[in-house]
Amino acid sequence: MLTDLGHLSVIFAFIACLYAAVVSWLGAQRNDDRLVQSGRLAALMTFPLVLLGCLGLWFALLTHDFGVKYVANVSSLSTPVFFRITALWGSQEGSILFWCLIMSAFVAAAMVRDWDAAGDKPLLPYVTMTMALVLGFFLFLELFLANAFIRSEFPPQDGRGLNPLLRHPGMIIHPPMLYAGYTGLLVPFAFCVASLATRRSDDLWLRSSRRWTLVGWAFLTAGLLLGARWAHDVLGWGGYWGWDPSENKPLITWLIATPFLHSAMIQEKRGMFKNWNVFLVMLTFASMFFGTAFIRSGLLTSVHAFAASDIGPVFMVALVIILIACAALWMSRLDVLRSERQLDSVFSREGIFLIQNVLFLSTAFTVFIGTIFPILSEALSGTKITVGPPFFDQTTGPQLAALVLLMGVAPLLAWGKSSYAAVGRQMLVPVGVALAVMAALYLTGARQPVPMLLFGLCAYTLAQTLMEYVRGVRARMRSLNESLPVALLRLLERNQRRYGGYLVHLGVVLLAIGVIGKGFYGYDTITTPAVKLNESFTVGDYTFTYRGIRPVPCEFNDCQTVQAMLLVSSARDGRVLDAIFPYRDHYPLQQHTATIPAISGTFNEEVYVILAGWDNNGATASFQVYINPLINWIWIGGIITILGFFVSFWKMPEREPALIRAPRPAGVAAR
Amino acid sequence: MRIFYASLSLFLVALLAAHPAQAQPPAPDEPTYRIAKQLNCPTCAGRNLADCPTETCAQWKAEIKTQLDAGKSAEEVLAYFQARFGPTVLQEPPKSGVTAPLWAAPAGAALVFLASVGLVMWRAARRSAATPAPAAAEHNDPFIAELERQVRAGE
Repeated sequence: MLTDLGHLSVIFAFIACLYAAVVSWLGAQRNDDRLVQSGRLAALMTFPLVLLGCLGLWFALLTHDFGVKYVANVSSLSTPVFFRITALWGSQEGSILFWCLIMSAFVAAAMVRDWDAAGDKPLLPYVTMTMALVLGFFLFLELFLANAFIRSEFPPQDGRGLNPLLRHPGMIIHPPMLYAGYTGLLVPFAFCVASLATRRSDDLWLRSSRRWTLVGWAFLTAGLLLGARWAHDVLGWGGYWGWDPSENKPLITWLIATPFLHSAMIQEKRGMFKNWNVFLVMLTFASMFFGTAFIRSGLLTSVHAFAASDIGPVFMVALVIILIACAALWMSRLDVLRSERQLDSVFSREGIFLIQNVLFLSTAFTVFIGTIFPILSEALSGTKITVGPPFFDQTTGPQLAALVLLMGVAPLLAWGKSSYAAVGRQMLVPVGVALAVMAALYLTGARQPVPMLLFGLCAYTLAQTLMEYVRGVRARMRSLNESLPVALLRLLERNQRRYGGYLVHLGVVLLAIGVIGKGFYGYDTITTPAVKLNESFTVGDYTFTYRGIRPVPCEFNDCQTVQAMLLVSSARDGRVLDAIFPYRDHYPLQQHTATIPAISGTFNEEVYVILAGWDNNGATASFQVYINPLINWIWIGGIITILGFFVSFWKMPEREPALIRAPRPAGVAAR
Repeated sequence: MRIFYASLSLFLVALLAAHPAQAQPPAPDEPTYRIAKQLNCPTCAGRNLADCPTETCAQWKAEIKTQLDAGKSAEEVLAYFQARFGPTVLQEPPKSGVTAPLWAAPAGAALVFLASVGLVMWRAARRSAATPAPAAAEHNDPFIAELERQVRAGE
């Protein structure tokens, strides 16, 4: 009953979206504020309506209403309450509904903001219209193509239970994060459309949506990191990133949203790159749509195969319509998007931002082409060619390294024009640090040139970024007589956008150190022949003694768990370091086996062990062992990156104040 | 400042040095595993053969072992799988044949992108040679303006 009420409520939400879109458009055409406000309220209402829909489905999940097909698919009598709640996004139909919930929350938040105070009221009707149309599209999918409320005629006694892969905290938080990331990035897109529709040439849309862009970006980043952590903890392939299509899709969007964050600064500060920003924000939106279409259509096999269905074609049609509409809108407004000034010099911050933007886009393109190549090759030659991690590692690696270098150069360059001598002087010491680090690495036995060079690069950028803080703190301490802690705090507080950004850079460099460490110095092996009971084997610095296997109660009641015990001791002095218990869950119902690793080792060097198999009730067993040096820096770097977002975001005004730009320099007259 | 740099360098060295210092391990290495790492798994989407626990994959691994025991080299075994299942079976797509465009695309794109930036920059450089020094960047915040001035002066 309550579930059907939820269904009805989602139908109303869909109608509210259509109404909001039409009425807002009419309001803008007729310049009638009453219509605009009506549209705004309708868009605002979608959030409570979709929430009611979700509550209805939650009610069905919690009361084991297996008459609802979706409930029977993603839960069972033995599914714990917590996972019955998260099962709302455990499969295609529910996850689209949940996506709608998050999107409608963003829409509602945008609608309740004080548009009068923000001074961007003219944009309101078109923002409402754009958001209502996009949300309406997703609600359309939910209602007509992937309805979670459908009932079956013959309700089963018990459900199938939640997909075993999804029973991990990382997987519980990761999808909502990604959805929030995507929908957060819908806001700048809607503002951009509104700005073009109202023929504005200024940067109001950027300043008004900046907070939202940052929130969307941060959620996307957190979603990527949590997804990596989930893969590391649950998938049992020893790493954190497998270049799976469903990982690549948010990465591509991230690789487009990040340069957008940077080039938006150029338009705010210099009035340049207007077309470029429109292009980037539209591309960000399109990449989100395109990726979702591919993952959810099942065209690409991935670890997200549970989300596959036949909504792909609808997505593709919608994408084509969106692309044409965006291109048409943009082309018809080229005259208002003229740059206020031209690039003064290559050697300027805007110049290097341009290089950075282009590098990001070429990296995004690289990931894109590798991801869709299976489909391209199938269309062209008839065989679906799988593109494995080696391709992505080899092609994106150099581009990402170049981006790390740019992070260490861009802050040195001033807007407008910089002198080579000044920048060169500032580079001296960080380059010295990098050389010192490389020399020390050589002395301690490192010989591979590539990782040494990359570590040197990271050392340089790390030093240069920290240098920015030192410079700022010193400037404050000298000019304002502040003590060091006060100066640092005030520095962050007064210039949060700049120093929050540098904190993000720091996080990214640390993350890069982890990636390089694992990539170049990580190794893995399998025990051959299988280890006998109470015998030992050695990998690297560690000796493992096999102490047998035993069945243990399954965490979720619907699987059979077999756990192995290994003693870990130092291969050098025989000291016992740890006891670890890698295990395997077998799910008979889903015919799925999960290998859950055991993790040991030191902070700097992770030991990751998988139970690969056993014979004769555990008389022999074999293990896969991964040694992952520096991998923990990936998580630490990730946390610092998110911290940097909070510093940037904290106390940020609803709308960035406009900069009072100096008059155009003589000789660079407006065209 | 010197103390800062010295400590930063020390930190980085301590952080990084532990790893390269260790020689590659005398691990219980297994040729079958090495080869399986280079092949795609037919059943686990997106994973390599070695990391996939399914029955089909066990059969493939057994096939690799049989061939190695029969005296074939690693290259011969990989060639066998490629001949039988096509290039799609390899983790790393070959840089020739059907997959050549795959490798060419990123390099081509990066070149085209950077070349277009180069063009924009070259034009800017020509223009800026003709114009006097640009106006100082403007900021609302005097502190940032001071920082920018320092950066310019190279202090």
